[in-house]
Amino acid sequence: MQYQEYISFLDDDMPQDDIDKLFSQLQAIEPPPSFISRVLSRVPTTMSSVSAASLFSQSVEWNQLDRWVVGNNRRKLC
Amino acid sequence: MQIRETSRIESIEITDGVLAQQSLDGDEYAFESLVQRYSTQLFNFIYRFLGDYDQACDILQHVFIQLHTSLPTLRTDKPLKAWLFQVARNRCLDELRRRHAIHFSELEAVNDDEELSPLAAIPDNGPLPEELAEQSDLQQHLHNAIQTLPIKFRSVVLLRYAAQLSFSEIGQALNMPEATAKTYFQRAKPLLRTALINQANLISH
Repeated sequence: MQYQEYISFLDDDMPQDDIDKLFSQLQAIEPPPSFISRVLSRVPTTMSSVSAASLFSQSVEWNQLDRWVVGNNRRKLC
Repeated sequence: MQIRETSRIESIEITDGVLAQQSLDGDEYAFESLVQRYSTQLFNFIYRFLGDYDQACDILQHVFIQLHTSLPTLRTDKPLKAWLFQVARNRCLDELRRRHAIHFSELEAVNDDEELSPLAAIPDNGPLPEELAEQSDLQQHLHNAIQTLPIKFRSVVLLRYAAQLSFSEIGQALNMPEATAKTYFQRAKPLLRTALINQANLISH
């Protein structure tokens, strides 16, 4: 797990109180370094935009998407 | 640090809409740019919502896969950023339902004039213990305090504190007026304060 300090905090003009100041110290947590390549390897890149459009003009259920996601439980078993 | 800043400025110059269109046209780098642009913000929101690092990774994958598959039919009347956080929140709620961690009644809309539960309505305006900010486990205290919030407040607070969204963006992501997002945020603050004071009291005893 990687942490990173936020460079800036909130950008609009709501006045900040002590709670805001305390929570501005909430550290950002980075996803694993391999995350982006993992996502890119899972998206169906071989599909053309036309075929994707025809396929996903129907409603997409989460369980249909599951087959593209490598779950951590499955990864641990490998 | 300098490299990071430079790349951030370069990626901001291309709008989400342009990157989305380029992705649709088969430009894989454009899609990668979108993933890079929103990974950390979304991950922080999801992780803080669920409190599980590995599960947050899985759900973030779901979000980006849904983005990729939805690009051809994505509505253009809503900013992509708000759409992403809406999908992430819905996925988190699905997970909490699966864990039986929330009831459907928790998700019902609350009118602005609706009263909170008696416990939640007790304002705690006392000062935060000074030692709280000095403690090494501050991060855990902040995380725990957020976890005590009702779901509708937790969403707003996390979009604000963990994902750094403006109230306008929070409203778009949660399908509520900006003023309602601000109201929820203000209502959540006494609850956060109470949770933090309770944690400090537990430590001191």
